[in-house]
Amino acid sequence: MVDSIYRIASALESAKVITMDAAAIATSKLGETSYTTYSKTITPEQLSNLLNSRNPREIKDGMKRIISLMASGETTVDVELYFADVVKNIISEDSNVRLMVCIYLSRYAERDPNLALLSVNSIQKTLSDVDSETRRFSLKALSDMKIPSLFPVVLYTLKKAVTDPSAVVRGEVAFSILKLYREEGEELEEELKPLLRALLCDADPLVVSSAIVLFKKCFPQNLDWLHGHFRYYCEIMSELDSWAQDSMIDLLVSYCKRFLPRPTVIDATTSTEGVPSAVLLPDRFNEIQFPVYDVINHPDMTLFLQSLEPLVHSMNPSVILSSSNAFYQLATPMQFKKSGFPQALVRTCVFSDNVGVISSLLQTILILSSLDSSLFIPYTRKFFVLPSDDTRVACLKLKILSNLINEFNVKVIVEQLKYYISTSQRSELVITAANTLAVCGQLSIRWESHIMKWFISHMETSRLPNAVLDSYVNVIRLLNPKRHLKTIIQLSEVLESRKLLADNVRAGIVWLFGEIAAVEYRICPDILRKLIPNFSFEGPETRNQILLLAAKLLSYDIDSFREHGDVNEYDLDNSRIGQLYKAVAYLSEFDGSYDIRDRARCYSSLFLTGKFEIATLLLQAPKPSPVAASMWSPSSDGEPNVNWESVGLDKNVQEFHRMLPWNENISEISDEDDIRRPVTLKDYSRYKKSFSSESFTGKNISRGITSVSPNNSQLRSTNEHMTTSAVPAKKYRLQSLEEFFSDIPAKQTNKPRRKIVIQSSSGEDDEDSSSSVESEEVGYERSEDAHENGGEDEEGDEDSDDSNDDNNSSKSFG
Amino acid sequence: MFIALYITDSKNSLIFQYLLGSNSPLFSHLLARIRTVCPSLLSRDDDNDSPPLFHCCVAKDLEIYKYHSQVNNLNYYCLASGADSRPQTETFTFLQLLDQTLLKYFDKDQLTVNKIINNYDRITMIFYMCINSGEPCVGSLNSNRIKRVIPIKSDLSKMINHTAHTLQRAVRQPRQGILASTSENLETEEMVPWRSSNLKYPSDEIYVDIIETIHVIYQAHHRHKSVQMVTGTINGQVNVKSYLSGNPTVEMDIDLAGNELYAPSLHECVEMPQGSPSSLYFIPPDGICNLLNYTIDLDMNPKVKATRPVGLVSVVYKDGLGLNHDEFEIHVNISNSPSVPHIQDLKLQIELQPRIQELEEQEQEAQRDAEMDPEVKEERNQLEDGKIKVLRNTHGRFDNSVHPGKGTWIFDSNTPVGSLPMLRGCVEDAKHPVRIKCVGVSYTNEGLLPSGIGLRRINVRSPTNLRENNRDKRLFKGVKYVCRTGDFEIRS
Repeated sequence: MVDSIYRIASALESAKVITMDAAAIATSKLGETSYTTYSKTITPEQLSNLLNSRNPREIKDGMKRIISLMASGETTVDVELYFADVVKNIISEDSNVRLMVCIYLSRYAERDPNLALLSVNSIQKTLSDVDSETRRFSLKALSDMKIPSLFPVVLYTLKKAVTDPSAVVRGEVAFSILKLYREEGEELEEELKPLLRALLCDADPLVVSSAIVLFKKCFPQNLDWLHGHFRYYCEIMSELDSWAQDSMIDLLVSYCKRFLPRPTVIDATTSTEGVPSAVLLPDRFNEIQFPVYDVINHPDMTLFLQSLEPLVHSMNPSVILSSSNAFYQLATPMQFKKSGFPQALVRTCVFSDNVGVISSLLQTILILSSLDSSLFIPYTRKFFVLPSDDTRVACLKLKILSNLINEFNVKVIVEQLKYYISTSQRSELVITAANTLAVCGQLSIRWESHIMKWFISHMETSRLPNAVLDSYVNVIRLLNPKRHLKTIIQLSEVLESRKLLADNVRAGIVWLFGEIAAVEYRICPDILRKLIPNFSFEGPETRNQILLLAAKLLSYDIDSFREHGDVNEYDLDNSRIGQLYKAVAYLSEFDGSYDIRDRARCYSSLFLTGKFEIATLLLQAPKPSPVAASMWSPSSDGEPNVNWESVGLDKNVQEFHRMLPWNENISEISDEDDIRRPVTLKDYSRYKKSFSSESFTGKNISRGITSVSPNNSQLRSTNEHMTTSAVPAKKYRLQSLEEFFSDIPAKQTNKPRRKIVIQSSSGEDDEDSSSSVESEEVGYERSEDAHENGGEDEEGDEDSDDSNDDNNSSKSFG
Repeated sequence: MFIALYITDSKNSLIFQYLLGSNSPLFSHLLARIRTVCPSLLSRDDDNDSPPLFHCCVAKDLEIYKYHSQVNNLNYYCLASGADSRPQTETFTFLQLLDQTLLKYFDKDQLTVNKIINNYDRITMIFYMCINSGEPCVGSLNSNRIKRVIPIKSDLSKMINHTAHTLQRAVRQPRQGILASTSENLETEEMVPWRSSNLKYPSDEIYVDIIETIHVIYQAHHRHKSVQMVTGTINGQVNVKSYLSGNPTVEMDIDLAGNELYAPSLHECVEMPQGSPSSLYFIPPDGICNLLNYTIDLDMNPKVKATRPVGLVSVVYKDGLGLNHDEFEIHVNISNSPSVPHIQDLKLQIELQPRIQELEEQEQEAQRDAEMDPEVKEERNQLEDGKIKVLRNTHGRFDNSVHPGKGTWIFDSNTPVGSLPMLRGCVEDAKHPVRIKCVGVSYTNEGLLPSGIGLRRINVRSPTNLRENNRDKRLFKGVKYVCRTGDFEIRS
């Protein structure tokens, strides 16, 4: 009875609290909008009063207003005028207000250094605060002020903070060094270097992450500093912040190139017959002669490449890019393929909706696929253009496709390309598709004639913008007309039978015959003859081209005449071609267009005065082939420096994938000396409180399961998973864990059979056995729990909740 | 090195700016500069004339990056200097990350302009945390760190929920009183970077959302009245919303339904002990988190038949019908499913083929009179692209687009499953057979994923007792399956 009354009373009490809460909400924060409206009504005078108030709430309102003014870009109130009022609030109790003052300072301190220096003392006081966040933000605020007279103070502070027990603060030191270096650069370099080296020795991945970003930005040349850290960094690679992983990978790639010996490739096919032939990894990707090969790496290189494996699951595209580049620079195509990064590149590309990212990824794929198309051939269909694709993305996809064409997929690709060409409104896309189609044509004669026919029929049926038409004509010219005489003759029939073709199409075809004259002269004079009667009915562009065709034919005719070595001069009046030319020139002299009249006079003067050499130079100049088509053609892959920019690649992508040279003269002694012997880490974690959480040891549950495997080959493969999962598992294993479990053997003896299996499986592990064994007992224990009864030691914790509200749920533990 | 960051709406009017130094330009100045140097940076996706740019140099060593957030319909601009020899991915990803961070911080599905304006102070502080010396601030980009430094201000609904809950608990456990739940010690150092250690929630909950987006292109074969897939991808995303106290670990078993997920990308907290995402193991980050992204390649999977429809909706059409061959018919088949009551926002975009008409007209005229005036011909061609007229329609309404030969068949917001909508239309004043160029489909449905993937079970383990206060309540509040369409097109 008493109990129930008590309950009612407490319910009432809480009801009261609700009402109070609700009232408080209603008055102060009912909607942020009303607060904003209030904030906007603060006049400049009021703002000054608020900032100088003794009431912390009013100060906060004032600061919020200041920040809003800065963020909204309003120019009605000059925020700088409140400098003194704002800065003195650095001593506020409220950390948010302090933070806002710091933001203000970071932007305006340079404008008024003297006033800004007033705040320094207060900031310095908070540098020894108990809370690590506070120390960190003080450090950040101090280094954010770009006042030269303050730099010595900052430097002094950094020297102290570099040994701070909190990783957050030490990480902040790296960024402060970066700021100092950017401001002062050379002058402080000598003082900053030891600080950075101290940070590089840190055991905490967070600190290493910041330090690496700094290292990459400021001292990327001093790769020798990484000697002692190389192995540790490889070990903690997947624990680093994903925003530092890419910098780390880039640095380690340069490191490997400089300090590690070049891998050796061994021919695997001949290994049975005595001494296998071995070569060093070639300078260019995919230049290994052997169909099947093994690679012998320096153990440290293997370590590095292995550390990249878990990153294939990274969500950060930069990491995927950097890792791919690492494999591109350091490994063979086979290793690259096996690592799964080509797939990760495609997946990231397909998944992302960030056009900037997609474009960089596609450019990388374009470079890689041009060097080794087999990396991406399985994903060919992923490069088909989707309706929502941005034009540049679509063009990059088509260029990649042109690298992937082979006998098996050419049919599908050609179908797609035809669809894009005939339906797309975007001329850039159509031109790229046409060039890609030309590459398809180079695959075989059958496809060549098919594509040429298609182009010709397509050309006559649709009206096209000039740029597109130019590309068509170019493509047809590229497709070796000599072999497809029939198609060319068909083209001339088109010219005759259809008078309604657009002017630019007719002009294009006529120009094409002028070019064909170089390879197949015989058919051309007849075409010219047929064109002359209708000269005056043609459009201006076509008339222009007919004139040009006539001039070209004459020039060829003169050349062939002179080659026969006749003593006589070429007689213009008596040769057929000469007469044809004269007829065209005569017609052109009465043309309505200045341009055509001028050209006619120009050509005539060349021929009449006998300057045939100049005419040859002018009219028979070789034309460059369409860029994309020629650079992908198999014949032109000799040069190491392909002109990527003309393919539409950004300079920095290109620079990023430039092959770094291997260092050929690594001293032999270095192997015995072992310059990469790990240096002692600075571990600050012993200052921390250690905790032991059962839940984290459970990370190894499934390892227990997978390692019990009947098949030996399977065992090997599962071991690979184990090693990959072993690295992150370390993350949660704290210092005390080993000691904690060191007195566990009593339990182990209970089920020795299982234990043996695990040990043998981990014994097969070459390198990571030490790390996996350490946590083996734990995993094994947990797996037993999970499998037999789901938690005998933790009844209440066993929160195996399953959903019944949806269809796919089932009971978890019986 | 970043110099300034700006958030604008899709029309490029400034909403928020974060200037890193005293010399950073105001957005108005920058905008003027962009307008003169590279106006296409400002153009939007639907502009046809110049493709929109996402990166350009405004001056020597000054580059500007743009990211358009589709969820929030906001543009993020970043002015940066000192580009090194790396691809620009990092900056773009960072802008995307900022967008996601804001969403996570405010715990919203969409960020409105008002929300940003009302929270200038908070957003400025978030930016201050995320950017350090003009670089992404490594180590403090996790949303739990941000939340710890800048505590979230709960809004009215959350306040009421919280209080109601406190009341409930007070009633159940009278002796403890209302204020007994205050945390006794605050341990500042966390054991994993993505989770704070001293979390306490009045009600422990975990939600799972699986969202799949379909990108498929079909080629229609009219002779066989069937469609064949040209290319297909399903992009899936597993999101977890966790509000759990203490340091729990979660095991998640996913039924992959025979699909192979190639190289999925995982949040850093996730471990895949079996090398496949069918079972995951993680310490959940606090609040919303994108746990897993996967891609199902429908081209490579031999189990997927090229003719089988993906998702619930399949479309077949016929054209060139009627006496004058100027009619077409579109059949939609929405399959029945017990777990899906209806399809939302179904829309079909129909595009007719303009070139066929032109071509055939040319054919005929070439035969008739060769010397016809080209101008007259021009006029004729323009007349051809008539409006689409609906003859019969079972569901929804039809909208003609401003572009000739295009239209949209818009359904009601909810269309029941199992229905077979049909539309028959014709082109007004068409003299020639009408052909459909392509039909684009877009819809959303909840309750079933096109890949058939589902959550099998979820286990939460925790050293502390999670359900001490509400024993009868479930921790796991259920899973939500959402299917959306990205590029869904049927071509002739």
